[in-house]
Parts: sequence; structure tokens; C-alpha cells
Amino acid sequence: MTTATDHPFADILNAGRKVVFSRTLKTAEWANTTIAAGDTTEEIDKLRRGGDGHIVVWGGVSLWRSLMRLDLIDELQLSLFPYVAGEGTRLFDGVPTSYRLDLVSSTPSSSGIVELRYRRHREPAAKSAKRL
Amino acid sequence: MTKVVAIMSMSLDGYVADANDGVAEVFDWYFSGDVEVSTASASSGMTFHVSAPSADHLRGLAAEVGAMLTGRRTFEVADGWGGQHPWDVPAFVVTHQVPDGWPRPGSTVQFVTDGIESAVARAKSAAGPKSVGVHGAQTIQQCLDAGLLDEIHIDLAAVLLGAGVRLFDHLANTPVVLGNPTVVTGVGVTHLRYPVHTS
Repeated sequence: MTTATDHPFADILNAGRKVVFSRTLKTAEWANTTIAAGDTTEEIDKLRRGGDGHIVVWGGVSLWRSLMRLDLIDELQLSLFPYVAGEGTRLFDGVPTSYRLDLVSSTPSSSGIVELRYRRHREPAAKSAKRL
Repeated sequence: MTKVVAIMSMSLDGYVADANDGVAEVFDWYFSGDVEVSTASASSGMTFHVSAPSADHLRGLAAEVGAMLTGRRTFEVADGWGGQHPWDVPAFVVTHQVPDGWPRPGSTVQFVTDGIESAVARAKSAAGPKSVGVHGAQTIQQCLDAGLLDEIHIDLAAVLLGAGVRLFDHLANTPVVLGNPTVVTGVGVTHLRYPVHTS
């Protein structure tokens, strides 16, 4: 996937800026890729201040859980499959606090997958404090 | 054919009650709009204020269900619905032992002590052409394991609970493949209804 140019995502991914969160990886071959090895909150904060677009967290259940624990995720986009697995890796394991979300949209697809979009519910005061 | 439909409000992370058996968070959507919906029972009926799509959805469900099937825990938490289920349909409670003082005269709450299959059979016959609604995590799990469910209806609440009572827990016969759901988007809730593919 790092070299293929015919994948629908190739142009976006190859050209886009990519950040790998890792404490072991030293170098990354992929173009426009940097490694973030420091404190997760500080690294995310640096990324926030370094641009005005969205930061997309793409895969990696460990990174996801770290970000959930640190309450750094503003929006969740989930694909719900029509399947009761019964066992396996739970996405929300280790989420320490209970909180409300704002449902943005829920959209069915012909494959039976429901695309769910939520925003972290934040009180206006907390929001402005976060931006200071 | 009488359908057997699991009906449950669930948090995004899969819980139907919080760690203290509380359901306020997953039931928030019952009070998230300005359309009034009342359940049928004169004695134990409840009034909700929901969004327009949720109101249509609730009215459809109430019209469809002809009998309810629950476990002992739901019966206890609901305090026996005062002897009459809020939806004004006969309720069947699966239990090892009939609770003291029950069944009460004039009550439509009945008890089944010989297992889940018998309970489903009795609820089906009471529902007639209508559906049997199954409520309560453990009862739904038993029905799912025994291949007795035709549909799973989840009101997916926009909340993370982090801990509590899981709906899909202790299942013996997984994976369970579901069909494509119907999806109704309310305010703070997504109503999902899946057919269960039984082999």
C-alpha cells in the first residue's frame, strides 16, 4: 500500500502528511511520514497547533484507547457490522469514564453496515478552556 | 407467524445498564424531544417526550407487540409493573421460583418456571398474530443461544458507560450473523432492527 498508485486512497495517502505514534520505530520509509515518540498529549497538541485541518486517527486499537483515555478524540466515525461476534477485541475496553456523545448521523448501507458519527459532548466552558 | 423480537436500549459501548443497575443514561432518549408518547396501560402507563422519528418508531413497536417476555431481574427492577405491563400486554417472566405474593388476582403478569423454550412458546400463543417482545439482557442471551430470536431491536444510545451490564455477554453460540438492519435516526439515539439469520 505504500507504493501502489492504483488504490483509490493512494493519492490521498501518499501525498498526505502522516504521523506514526511509536516508541520503537526510528525511521519511516513512506513519503511525508514522521514519527511521534513523545508524550501522547503533547504530540497531539503539537499536531493541533501545526495545522488547521482534521487529524484522522486511522486504526490501531492501542493508540485509539490511549486517545480515549486522554479524552483527546473530538469525533468518532464507526462502522457497525451486522454480526454478533461473541468474543474478540473490544473497541471500548479500558474507557475509564462514562460520558455523553452527540449523535451526528447514522447511515445504513446496502451491505448492512451502519455508519455512525458522534461528537464528544463538551460543555461550552470546557471547550474554550481547552483551546487556551 | 409470531415473531420473537429482542428489544433493548444499549449504550454505544454495549451496556444496557450502568454498574449500579441504573438505566437513566441509556433511557435518556425517551426524554430527548417534544413529541409526547404514552404507553397503553391505564395503571402502569408512562409518558415519554421523544423526537418525531422516535415517536413513530415507539408507536409502531407498541402496536406490533402482543406479549412481553422478561427475566426475573427485569421484573424485580420494574417492581412487577404493578401487575400490568406498561404496554398493556401479558408479560411472561422466566424464573426458577414464582415470587411470593404472585401471581396476583387481575394481574396479566405470569410466571414460567420450566425454561426459556416453554416461556417463548407461551408468550407466542398469547401474542397470537402479533410479536413477542423480549426484554432483559439475560433473557435475550438465552433466546439467542437457543435460536429462538427472529429479530434484534436495539435503541443505540449516544453515550459511553465504561462499565455495567453487557447485552451481548456469555453467549454460547457465536458468531451470530445478522441481516441488514432498518435504521431510524432519532435525537441521541439510533433505532436499529436486525433480522437474525438462524441456521
